[in-house]
Amino acid sequence: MRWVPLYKFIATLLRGKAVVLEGVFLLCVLLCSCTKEVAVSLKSITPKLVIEGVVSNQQDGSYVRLSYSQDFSNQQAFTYLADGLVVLTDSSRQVFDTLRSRLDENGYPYFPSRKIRPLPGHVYLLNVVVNGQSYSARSVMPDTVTFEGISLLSEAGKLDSKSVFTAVPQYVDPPGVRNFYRFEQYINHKKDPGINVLNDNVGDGLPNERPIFTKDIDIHLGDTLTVAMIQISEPVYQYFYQLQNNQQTLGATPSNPTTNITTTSSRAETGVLGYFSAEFCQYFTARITDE
Amino acid sequence: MVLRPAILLVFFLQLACLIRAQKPVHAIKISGRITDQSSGELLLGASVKFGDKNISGTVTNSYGFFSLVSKSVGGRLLITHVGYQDTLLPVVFTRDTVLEIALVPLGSSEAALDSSAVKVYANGQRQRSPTQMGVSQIDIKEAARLPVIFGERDVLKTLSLLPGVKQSGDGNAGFYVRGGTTGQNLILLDEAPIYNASHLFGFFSTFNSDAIKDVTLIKGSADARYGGRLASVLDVHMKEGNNQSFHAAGGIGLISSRLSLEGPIQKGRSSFLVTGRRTYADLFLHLSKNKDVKNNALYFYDLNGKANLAITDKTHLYFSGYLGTDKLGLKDQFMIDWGNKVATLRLSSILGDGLFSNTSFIFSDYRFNILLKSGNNKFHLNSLIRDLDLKQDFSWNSAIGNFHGGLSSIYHQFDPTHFSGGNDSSDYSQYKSMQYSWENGLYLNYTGKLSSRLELSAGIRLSAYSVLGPGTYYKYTPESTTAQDSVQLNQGQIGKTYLNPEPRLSVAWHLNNAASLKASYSRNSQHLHLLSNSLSTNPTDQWIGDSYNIRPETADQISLGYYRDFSGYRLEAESYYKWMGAQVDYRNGADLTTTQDVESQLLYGIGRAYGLELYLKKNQGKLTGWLSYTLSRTEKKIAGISGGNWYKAHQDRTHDLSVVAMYPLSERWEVAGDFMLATGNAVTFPEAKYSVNNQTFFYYGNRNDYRMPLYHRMDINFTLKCKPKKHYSASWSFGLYNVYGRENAYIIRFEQDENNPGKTVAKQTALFRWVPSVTYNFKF
Repeated sequence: MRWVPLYKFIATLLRGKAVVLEGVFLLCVLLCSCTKEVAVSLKSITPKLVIEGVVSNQQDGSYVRLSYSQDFSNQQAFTYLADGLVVLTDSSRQVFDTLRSRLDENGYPYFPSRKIRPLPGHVYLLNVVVNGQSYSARSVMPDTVTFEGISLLSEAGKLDSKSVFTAVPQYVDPPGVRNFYRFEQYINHKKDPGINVLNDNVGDGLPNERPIFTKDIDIHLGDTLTVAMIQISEPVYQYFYQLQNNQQTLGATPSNPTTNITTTSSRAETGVLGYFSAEFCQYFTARITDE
Repeated sequence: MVLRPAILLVFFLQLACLIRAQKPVHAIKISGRITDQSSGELLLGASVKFGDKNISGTVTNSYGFFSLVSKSVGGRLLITHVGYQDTLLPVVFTRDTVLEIALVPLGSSEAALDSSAVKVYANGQRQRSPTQMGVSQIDIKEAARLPVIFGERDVLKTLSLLPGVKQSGDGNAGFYVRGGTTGQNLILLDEAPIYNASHLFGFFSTFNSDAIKDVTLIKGSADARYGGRLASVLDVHMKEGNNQSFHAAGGIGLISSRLSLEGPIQKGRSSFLVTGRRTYADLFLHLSKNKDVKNNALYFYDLNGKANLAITDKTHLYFSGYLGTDKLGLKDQFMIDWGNKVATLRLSSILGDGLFSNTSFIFSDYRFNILLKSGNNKFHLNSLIRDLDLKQDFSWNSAIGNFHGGLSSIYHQFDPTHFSGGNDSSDYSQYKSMQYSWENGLYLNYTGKLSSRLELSAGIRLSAYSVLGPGTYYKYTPESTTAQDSVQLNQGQIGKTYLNPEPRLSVAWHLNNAASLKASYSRNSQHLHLLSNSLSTNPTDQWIGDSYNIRPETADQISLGYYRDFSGYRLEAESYYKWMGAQVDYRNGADLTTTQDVESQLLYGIGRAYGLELYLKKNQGKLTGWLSYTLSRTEKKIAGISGGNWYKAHQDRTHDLSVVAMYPLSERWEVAGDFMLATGNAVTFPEAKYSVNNQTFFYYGNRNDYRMPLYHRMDINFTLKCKPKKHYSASWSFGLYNVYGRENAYIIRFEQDENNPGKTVAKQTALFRWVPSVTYNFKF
């Protein structure tokens, strides 16, 4: 069992939840708890359609991906759809783009968009028809906030080869409007699976001081750290906030995130998973040195 | 299930007629106090009856008082209490009489009773009725012999060995009663409410067993004097201190040490008690070579104090106080501390002719504070609940039965969880205004005999809760987290008010001297709600009062029971059904901490709980102990969760079995053990997985549709009494928690395999395997 570093406390504190559950974990470590892999008998359900739609300012960043969910115990790769009617619309400019599927670098089909231009304040619509069932979603591109860089916090304020660092993204939140942010961290070009979202319930209009946290990969001296700051809309924030909650070490009862994709069918089993997000993404890369 | 006021009125009128019809012609009232001869402590639950005749007796109430009515002028009074010599007292009464009887502890060399130990006053006191259902008294001395985790005796953990009571987690002091949540238990320490009765994430309770005299758990129909929570009342009384001589007692354990001092202020009349306890896990951390571990703070302490002053023979003044604090963190960087502060000042007086008055001023405060320093920044996250409470209780013992009535008035202050702090140039504080409210309770309860076989206890409590200004309250609909409307209250202005009548009725039918049947109905309402987003007791759980959105939670409970004593055994069988209304839950994906108004994150619904509880206790012979079994179901139905269908509550456990046994091996050695077996908690597990954003996530099935694995565990404890010296006695306690090292699942997590992201695995974490403990207890 690995030691849970104390900064995780701070993590949860600043995220403002489940602070102490991590403390329970700390105590367990002290008391020599044990973790092992177990077999759990889980129900099998009819695969559900998963729609992931993104309109982004990044090069080739706008796409739609269709896939199916599968049983927990199924260790095969996910099934991605190559057929289906997928239309992205910039309703502010009345531009329609009917997407055609292509294969990504791993050989899985997806639907890239070239015609849709990401513009702050524009309303984007997604319409998908799969197996005669239609799905739609709407997302507004947020205004942009300048990503100024990252500062680093070191555990216990010391610096050596064992020090673990935590990144604090530097930006000034615009006052008076609600802003939502999602962050991704790449340590030596490997993506950490930790989900990080922030809103401005705390610190509206102020420079950010809240750190973001890695889940599986620690940041050490000499590492190259890339942080993506993605401005998102409130429904997408809520979607990722629930994913982040479900990721907590000893969280509360997990729940399925609320999707912003709607379907015309009233049958529950046709419920769709996933999200549609118009988002503004900025990257910042730094090498961790002892300055 | 609501009795209409008119029906209630008719009911009470009929009751009054019945009572009048039963009044004896020449009834003589015998009442008094039962105390421990060596310490002067009042004894509760001592049985008092006429020994020659099979007239049923009574038991002393929570202030050590009893009251009996005799139709004959003479007889022999038999007084018995666990751990004390039976006392048979010949009496001749010509008028109403007040006795003060001191019992001699078992093992004492003194004679059973010398007449000087009995004081007689011409006055009266009140009694507790044996009609109550679902009442368990914890014998503190017995509890001290049972094995416990970390060797730290804990009354709250002993509770979970009783039927109808479930531990909230492995090694945890939090408990669920008959399908209620941890926030639906009214926990009172000398009448003061304790808002968070746990230390160190629930692994310890706030009750230092050295300071505790008695603990009563009422899970059924509590009498009308208690109110404010749905599931149970845990009434804990602190010791008053020895009024005969000075004593010290204490214990040294692996995790903590305790010390208590007690003695007379005025010999035989007034006394004091001071106890303290501190854990020292952090001292072990200091030994660590790892600097990060070394600088951690991880401890809690408790301080209890009580003073008992006899102003006159008929008037006593009691002061009790409790202070407890937990601290945990990394020095200078991060610190979380939380704790309760409570104080009670009680004036207890005998007004004459069976009229007894208790006036209490109560203060209770619970708060937590999290501090974080990073660079130039200093942040806090904190919240607070504070009560000022005035209670007046009258009781009147008359020939037709016992009445008690009174009122309580509580002024609540809440500081909702908020974030504050910053650096020299920026202030990140959230401004959430304090909330105020006023909670009142007015009650009347009657207990008496309708015939030699039929006893009855009936009561009504009227509770009122008002939101007080200043403040702004927002209104929400279940569909949206955005406020639809708001109400502005000025300083002192009374806002939304809820009025809840709470009738209670218990009847006992004595089949014969050894067996009885009981039935009860009670309605309770709860105006304070605990918001908890976690599976264990958490210091950041916050209390919130009724508002324009949150209505009072209600519970209607009916129960039926059969009780029988036979040759050294006692059997209790009770069944219950409980309907719960206006239950509070949170939305999926709720943020209970930084959201400006936490009420926007809540949902409301109903609940139901039912079950059967069996309890078989062996009190005589060398081998003593009990067996308790509960078969139960608890479900909730909340719009917005699980499609608005009934779902199992997290604390739903179908089967729950405990076996407790104690056996003296020799003069000095004693062994005690327990075994628990319970269905796993209801939990939510994934039923599928999917990929978005290049990561695998899980699709969860219906809320609480799965079960954690079966829980079972056995613990054992050996006590070695050291050779007694004149003024010093001591014992060693050697315990082993989880004897056969069962890995009971605390949590099961589902995740992508770190080494093979394409693969998903389920991982189970068990908190404790074998936990040995050694404690040295002493007394002089």
